[in-house]
Amino acid sequence: MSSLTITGLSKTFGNVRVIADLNLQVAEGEMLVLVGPSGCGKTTTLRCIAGLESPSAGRIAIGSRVVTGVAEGVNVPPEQREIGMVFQSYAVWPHMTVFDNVAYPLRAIGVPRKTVPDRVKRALKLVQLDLLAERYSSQISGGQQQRVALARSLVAEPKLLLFDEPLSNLDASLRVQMRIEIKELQRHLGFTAVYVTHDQTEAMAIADRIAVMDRGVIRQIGSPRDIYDRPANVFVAGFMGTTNLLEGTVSRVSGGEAIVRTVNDIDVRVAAGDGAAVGRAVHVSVRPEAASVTTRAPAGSPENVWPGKVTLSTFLGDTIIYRLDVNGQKFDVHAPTTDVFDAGADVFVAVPPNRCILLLE
Amino acid sequence: MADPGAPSAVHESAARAPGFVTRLRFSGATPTEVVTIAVLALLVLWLVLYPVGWLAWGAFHSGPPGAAESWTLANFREVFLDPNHWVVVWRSIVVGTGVTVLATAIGAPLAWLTVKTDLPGKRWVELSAIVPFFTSTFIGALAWILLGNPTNGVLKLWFGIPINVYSVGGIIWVTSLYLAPYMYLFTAAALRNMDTTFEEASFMSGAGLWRTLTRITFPLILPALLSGMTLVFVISMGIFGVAAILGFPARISLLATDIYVRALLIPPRFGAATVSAMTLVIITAALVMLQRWILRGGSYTLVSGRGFRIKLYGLGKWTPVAHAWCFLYALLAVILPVLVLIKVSLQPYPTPRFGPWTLENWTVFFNNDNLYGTLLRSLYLSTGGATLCVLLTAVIAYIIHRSRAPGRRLLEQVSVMPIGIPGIVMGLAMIWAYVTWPIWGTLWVVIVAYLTLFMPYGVRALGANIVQIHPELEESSRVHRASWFRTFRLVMLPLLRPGIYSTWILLFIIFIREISAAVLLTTTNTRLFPVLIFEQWSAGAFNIMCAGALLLTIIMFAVIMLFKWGFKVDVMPSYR
Repeated sequence: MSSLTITGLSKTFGNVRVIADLNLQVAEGEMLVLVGPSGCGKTTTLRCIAGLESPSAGRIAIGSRVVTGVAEGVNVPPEQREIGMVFQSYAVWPHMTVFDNVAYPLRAIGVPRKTVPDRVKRALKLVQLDLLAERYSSQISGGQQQRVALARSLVAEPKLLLFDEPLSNLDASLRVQMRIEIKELQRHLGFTAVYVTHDQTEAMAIADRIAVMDRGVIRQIGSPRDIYDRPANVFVAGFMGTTNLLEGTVSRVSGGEAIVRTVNDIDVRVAAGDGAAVGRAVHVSVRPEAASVTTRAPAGSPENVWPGKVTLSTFLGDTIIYRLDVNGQKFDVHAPTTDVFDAGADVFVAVPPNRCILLLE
Repeated sequence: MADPGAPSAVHESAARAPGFVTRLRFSGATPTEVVTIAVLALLVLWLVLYPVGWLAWGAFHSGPPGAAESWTLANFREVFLDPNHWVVVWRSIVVGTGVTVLATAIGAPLAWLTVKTDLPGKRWVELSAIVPFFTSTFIGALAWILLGNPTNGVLKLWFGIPINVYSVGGIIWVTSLYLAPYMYLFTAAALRNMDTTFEEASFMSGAGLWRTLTRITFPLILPALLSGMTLVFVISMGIFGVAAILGFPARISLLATDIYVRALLIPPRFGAATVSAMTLVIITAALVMLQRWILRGGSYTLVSGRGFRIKLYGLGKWTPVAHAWCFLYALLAVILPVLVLIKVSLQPYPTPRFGPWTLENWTVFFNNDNLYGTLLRSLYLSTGGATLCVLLTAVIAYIIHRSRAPGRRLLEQVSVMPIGIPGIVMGLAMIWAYVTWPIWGTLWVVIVAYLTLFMPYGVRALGANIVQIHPELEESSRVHRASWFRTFRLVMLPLLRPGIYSTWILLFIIFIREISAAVLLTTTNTRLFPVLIFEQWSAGAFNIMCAGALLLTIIMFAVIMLFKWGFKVDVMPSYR
């Protein structure tokens, strides 16, 4: 297993810049997830790492070995990069058995013929497919094909594993099960991996670290917790989970706190960080589950408390989503099902200041 | 990373002016790939441009190929100042246009009926729309002499239908019957690939059948229709067999026969024939370019998503009408011609009467010393030629659709160029190009001509198969340690096998029945089977000729059945 270092990576198709000066470091044994909306450049980045796409500029090194270096004129073909990859379509070859699919990388490298069956069986055992070795891909399910693809990517003990939206063709329940299995396998074998997905839940479930991409740029990189609780900007706050984004201006800064007056004249007390100067245009992100709905304003509470009106209530079984109107601002709250308010009810919303995230960009 | 400033400066200059070498290095192409592309590109450029270049050169020279003397414009004077030439040009354009319109009128409705409606017995309809493709215009024309000649044609004497195939109309009629399958194939493929929701959305928006057909279906299949029509026009302009068999007796000259006659005059007028050929190729090339220009925006993506259903229109009370239409076509293109060929091949002289009967034609035919040699030669040529052509076009199609190396666009453009070159023109060009080569007078020169002429068919048919294979199947191979060549051998070729088989049969059939390019190229030592049949016709041996035409049909049919049952390959040429 090796680390991965990407420096100054850029890719243009014609006049379109798909990746713009991207820098990324993945530690040995780490699972890094690239997440972002479609067209953000995450798959192109992955394909550049695999050598399936050639960047316009930049350098990619697996361990200490430079596999792509535009300036140096280095471009190692995919088959010499010692990587494994799981594709969105699984790409299990339909004219070969499960066994032959998994044996393929070993035979291509030319490992001693006698060791092939043993290594294939070990790989198939890892993904619990050892009993289906002689089947063809048309005779196994989508989930099983996915496991074949996984075994094939692992069998030659690659230095790096790449996952290109591997679960997007599976149905919902299988997807949840498979992402747990991939994570367990990664913990167990300790491989370095870059995993691309557009699904932010999947990203959080599987990642050691997440890199959120937008229009060819990494907007934030950090642990799932960091990304969710402390988004660095409006894009990340909006993309990772649902949130209420309140637009406004800093009206006062005192101690560790600031007051933001929103465009709908709501005063929001937030924990102030660096750069919160009076008069600066900012956004405040409030997660729907951070807020609560009450019928009476709690007197003297340190929390932000605003009067509002319920406009829509959606029952989801474990939670209720209230769409509120707070002084003309749409505001969503995920509340427990114990207190029920109907549409039209006059209520109060309460949010602790430390759950109101000040976003400077 | 030690010096982040330095590399980025290089990046910028590289980004500003990506030269050929830079593009090559960063196209992801391996040395094997680059060498393969370079060799193929040179080969294809050679195959296409060398004879065409010689043709242009020959037009400006006096003297025959191989012994050309000096630069001259005399050839142009001889042809262009002859008012009769322009009559011939005009007549050829009329024939080409007429065939294109009539073949579309026959083929496109058949395609719509089989793909989009609930017509019962579709398999038979489909079969009757395809079989004429394998019978060929040449054999069709032979049969139609017997059916539709004005003095003792079967149709006139038995059914009182007064038609005369020895006319411009007759040429258009017979050619259309046997080129209609092209229109059927192009239209059916487009209709089959079209997502039905486009039409359903039209119905949901309140449009009726007619409005949906004219506003939605037709515009969406228009690119495919235009491609098919261009192909049909070019083929019909260069078709020799029909033009000769139906045109010579009535002294109706078309460009294809005009070239032939000028080249075989005594003494031969090669220069004039070449200028005539230039006229022909300029018309067809202009049309191909026009079609490219019309479709310059690229064709629509008709396929969206997977596993869509094909909407079936209920024909209801119109079913018998549709059946009658399909049956009439099968009757005129296949059933009557084959029956009349069988009948006359068993009679001692051409007669519309029923009897007397004899096996003499067949015995004469089988005792002819020329026959076995010619038949074997045709089989060798078609087997070997089709194999070479499939190998060549498989690699070309693969590169066109899957490589990202620079140069592939050029390869694509050059490899489909022969679509615009009529067969007879290629025959003449080959004489100019290779008459001084040692392969001249051997079968190799015929193979090279056919390879060049029919390369586009292989490239298209295989290309249609290659795009069906998900790119990730190959990428996965590359990532998992296999080289470009190993990927081609272990992943691409096996997945492409059915497509390779069906393309091989298509090419085999096209090769074995081809006559337009062969008439000028073959000598007594390299005579091919269709040419032998043509010579029997020239000698007036109609009954023997019928036996030959039937034998050729039987061979083609046998090969198709062999593949259908032996290799389980469906013989449906696929186009894109």
